[in-house]
Amino acid sequence: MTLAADVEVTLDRLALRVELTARAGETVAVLGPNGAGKTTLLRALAGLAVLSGGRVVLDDVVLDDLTEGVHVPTEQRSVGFVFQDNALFPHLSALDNVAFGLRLGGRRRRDARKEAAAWLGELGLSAHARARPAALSGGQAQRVALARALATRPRLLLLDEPLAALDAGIRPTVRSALRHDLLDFGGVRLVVTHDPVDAMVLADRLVILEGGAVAQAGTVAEATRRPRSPYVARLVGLNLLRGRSRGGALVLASGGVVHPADPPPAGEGFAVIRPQAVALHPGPPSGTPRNVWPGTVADLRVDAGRVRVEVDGAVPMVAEVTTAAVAELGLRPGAPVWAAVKATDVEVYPA
Amino acid sequence: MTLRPSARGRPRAAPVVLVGLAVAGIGFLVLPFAGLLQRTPWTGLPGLLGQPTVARALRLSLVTATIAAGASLLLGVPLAWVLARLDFPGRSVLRALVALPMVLPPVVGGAALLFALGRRGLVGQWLYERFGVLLPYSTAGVVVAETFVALPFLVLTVEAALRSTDPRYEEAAATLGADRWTTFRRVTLPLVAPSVVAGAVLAWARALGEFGATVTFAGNLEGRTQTLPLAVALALERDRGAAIALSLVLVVVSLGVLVALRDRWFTLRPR
Repeated sequence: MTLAADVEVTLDRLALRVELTARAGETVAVLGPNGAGKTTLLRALAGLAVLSGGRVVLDDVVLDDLTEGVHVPTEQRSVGFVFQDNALFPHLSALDNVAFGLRLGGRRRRDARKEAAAWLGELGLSAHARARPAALSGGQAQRVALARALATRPRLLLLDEPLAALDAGIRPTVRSALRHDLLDFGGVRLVVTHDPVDAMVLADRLVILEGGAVAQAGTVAEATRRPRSPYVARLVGLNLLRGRSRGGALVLASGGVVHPADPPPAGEGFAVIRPQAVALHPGPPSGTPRNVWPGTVADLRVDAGRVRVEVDGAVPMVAEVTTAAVAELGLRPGAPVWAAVKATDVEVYPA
Repeated sequence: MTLRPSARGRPRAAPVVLVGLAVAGIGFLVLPFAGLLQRTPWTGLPGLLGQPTVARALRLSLVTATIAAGASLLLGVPLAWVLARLDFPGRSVLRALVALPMVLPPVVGGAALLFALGRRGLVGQWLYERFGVLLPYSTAGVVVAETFVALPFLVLTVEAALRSTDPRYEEAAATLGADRWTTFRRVTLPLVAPSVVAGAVLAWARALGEFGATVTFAGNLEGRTQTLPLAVALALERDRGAAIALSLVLVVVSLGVLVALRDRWFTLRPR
């Protein structure tokens, strides 16, 4: 079972163009900033948003093909959708919410209810079967919504920000429960999120959307090691620089030069530098670091006892230093500073 | 009476201007009823109400208003759905047409009905020649006139409710395998049920009080087309006491329905 999608959707403020494949038993996280088109992509796959071009194939069944004029309506797609804020039917009990799709699948009322009760039991919600959605907690409602989607045994499961509506306090619990439940579902799983932690816990692969296009796709490990866009780099907390290979160094558009230990591949390339590998100095440093860049402090942020210092210059850089170092160096916004990085701490790869 | 906008937080005095005008408004609405009660011939009341004319008019009013409300439901809910959910050219024109009977003088509506459904009317001629059906001056004509003026109230109430429901409930139903008809029956309709009831009550009340279109289209025939409002108008010229008694019946019936349904009245909160 696989999903092969080439989705084009044109909305007022968004032109989405995404190619995506996913295998059964695999969770793909769609990650991206607000307005990147994540939800629109899910809606297009579910048949809720109208394609302006492309083709969607699920298990050899063509769901959408614009050139051939094929469009399978949502209700015939066998697609489970967990909406942001769950969208549980407010007039039905938790049990009847789950039984809704089962009854449409042709079960008698009694059988549908029995099966729905089994689903709720499996997700630890038996005690809340008779509760109306308004009486459920955020975490419970999320699990009822998941049960409702899973009960119809869809071939494709789409989750739109399944954890966004939850309080920060219960997110970790619900997140790991969700991870567990997703593993039991054998079809293709797609999770939209803007939280990298969700993506890392839930997903086997990442597809990162920016401005309606795929900025990066690959495993979580790849994205954390080799980000391919400033957004991804910020998500994983790395400095990302883009430039052109020249004489064993990477020359940025600003004119700044980055020296890696190994010569960069020819043409356009990326360099990543961990903030912890950046040393800051009040003046030009003595010693032998290959990379020394002057700049000014733009911003300081304290995070878990460390300080992230944003340095503006020809080679913009975030350095992570101790609070003691901040005091010692007199770092404050506008202060001149020199950033130093050893060549062995610069990793380069083709763009 | 304590003049506090709410129980929460620091008690604050309500603005005198607002409260003053509100009191004037209530007074304006209640005053006519005081006048009615003051002129009521209480001792002769049982005799007046016992007249067969009164009973017939009341029965006719209740029956026709209820059928008109039912017809409004049958035609109005689908119309509201089409206006709220389908996108088509001329939708705003259609919505204006739906609201037209609300702003039109009912007499004009009645005259229009006559030209359309009368013996020589656009459709009426065909109805008469083909089926021998003659709507004007018949009880069915009363229902037609009442439905004509009552339907917009239901349509606009239900359409507003449909527009304010979260579209994701219907989308969720679709992902669970429901086609549009099933979604309408099992999700949309239950969600807007309080507004459908409110709209039906509005339509019923409007039909019960209908005068102008009815008298124009159906005339004022006792036992056949003479509803309570028509009986009141006729009695005002002949017998003041009877007019007052009939008016009291209308007031009591209307008030009774409003009170019985007060919890549903325009409440859109999901239960």
